[in-house]
Amino acid sequence: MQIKPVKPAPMQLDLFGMVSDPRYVNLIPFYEALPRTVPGSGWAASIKRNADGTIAPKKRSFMYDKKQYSLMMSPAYIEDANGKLEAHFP
Amino acid sequence: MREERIELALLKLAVGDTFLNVNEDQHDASYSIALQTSLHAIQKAVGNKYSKAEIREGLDILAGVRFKVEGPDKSEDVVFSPIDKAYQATGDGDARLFIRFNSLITRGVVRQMWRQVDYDKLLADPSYLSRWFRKRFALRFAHAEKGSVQWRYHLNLSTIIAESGISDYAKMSEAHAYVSKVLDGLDDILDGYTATKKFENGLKGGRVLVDVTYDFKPSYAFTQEQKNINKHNIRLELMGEAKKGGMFRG
Repeated sequence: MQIKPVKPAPMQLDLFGMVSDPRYVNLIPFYEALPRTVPGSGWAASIKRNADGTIAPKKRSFMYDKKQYSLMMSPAYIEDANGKLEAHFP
Repeated sequence: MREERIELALLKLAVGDTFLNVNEDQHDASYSIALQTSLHAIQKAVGNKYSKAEIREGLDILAGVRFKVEGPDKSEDVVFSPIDKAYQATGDGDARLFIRFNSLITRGVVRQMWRQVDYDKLLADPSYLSRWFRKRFALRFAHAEKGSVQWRYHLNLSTIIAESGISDYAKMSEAHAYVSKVLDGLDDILDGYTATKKFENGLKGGRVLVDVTYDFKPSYAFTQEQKNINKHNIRLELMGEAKKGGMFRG
């Protein structure tokens, strides 16, 4: 790992750390607009397959600042305790 | 839900402990924002809801899933994973973690485009859709006219379904009932809402609900909180201006 803290700390990170109350978190509006969660069904049972047997990505569209964007999500593959790979969405 | 909570916890931890790597060309894509933390710290930040093994798996999913976001005219796109992750067990049941945030988060920080949201309330809320609304309302408030007392916001049910990802309901009427129940529970944020239903004639002759437009009225407490956040943002902007000409503004 070559990433190291920059000295002096860049202004943006100084400001990013300045929340007005410790209970707050800073969120990035455009990233939060991404419909990137598959609620209640992230596990293999809900996953659809393409005709060739591969896991189908999930496609969604969303609006941000009055513009239409699209999101395609390809799953992560996680090895279970038996060594079997399963596809997961967040 | 787990990955959503873990991602939120990483951003919470990032408030106090982030690094930034800078390349010479100073293009947004060349920055990377990273966080050095531990499994234990993340576990604590998510309210001890998950075991360390579950958190490690959640991080693996966040690092393994791939997103492709395409712009309105398909002329630009960005492909990324929510995080990059390095994991190193420390032998005491814990692990040291190095998390690098994705380019959209980095770009938001570099361009100073972020907004405060109440983490404690998000963490305590057990409903995914309720949390989605909490974030949505807070982020939406950034677009409210400055100085406006009357903040009104509307959303269609079809938009809520598409953008929150809830899709377990075959009929719009069932989705409307679920969404209404969630909205009724957000009484700390909302002072009420109206739901205007849109019907179309069904194939069997009856009228079928095809969409609902919700018009939200925020509570006084929420409005005041958001105004205070706006004031905080203005203070940050002024501090940024005072340092104009620095590393990112040259």
